[in-house]
Amino acid sequence: MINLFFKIFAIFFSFFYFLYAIVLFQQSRVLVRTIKTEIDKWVILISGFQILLGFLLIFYSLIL
Amino acid sequence: MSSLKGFLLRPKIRVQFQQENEEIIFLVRAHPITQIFWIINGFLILIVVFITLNVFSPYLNAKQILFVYLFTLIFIFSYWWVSFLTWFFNVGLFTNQRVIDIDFHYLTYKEVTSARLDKIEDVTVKSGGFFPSIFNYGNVFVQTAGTEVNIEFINIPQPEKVKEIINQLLPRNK
Repeated sequence: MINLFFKIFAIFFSFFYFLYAIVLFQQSRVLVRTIKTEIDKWVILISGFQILLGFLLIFYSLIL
Repeated sequence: MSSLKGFLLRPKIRVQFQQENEEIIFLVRAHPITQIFWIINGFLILIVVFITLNVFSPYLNAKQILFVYLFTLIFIFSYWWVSFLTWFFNVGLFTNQRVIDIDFHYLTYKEVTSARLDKIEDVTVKSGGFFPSIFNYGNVFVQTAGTEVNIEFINIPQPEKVKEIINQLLPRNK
């Protein structure tokens, strides 16, 4: 029973983190569009990387 | 890495609404030392999760414990990243034409305030306290004429120097 609850919560939180990462990526694009700096590419890269992390979290939570 | 400072003369940046003949003289953002708290918070979260996981580890298997650690680390990384972006992109800009304050509240709400240099009536510096004195940061309030909005820059480094530069930028007949 604990395993089932844990898996449900893991999928739930992973999915919401994935959505949050997508929003963060979109907002990062707004940021670099508003103020163009030397680190624009890094901002987009790291924000995009979080979408990948979210996806990996979902995948791992599914195989728990 | 010079772009990570709180005070930059002639920064290599360009803003979306910058006019053709408008040149950014200097940029200010909150003093880096004022950002220490979110860094410490991240480590505190890690410690709390580590202690909590040690208490509940008899009830969880290895995969589940690994998931909790992974999720915590990713969460803390994300928290640090958002905090960094909030600090980095909340800036005050002084151009040869106006003063611009760009604020991103929770990254999703953008607020841009600007005032032409010839509308500036008064510049006030407020600085006090133990850490502001040691690290030389404070608040600069830019008051403008009439119905124009007032602009304030919070916890910026070298506030007296900022005031001095603003006064130099103001039109001579003021």
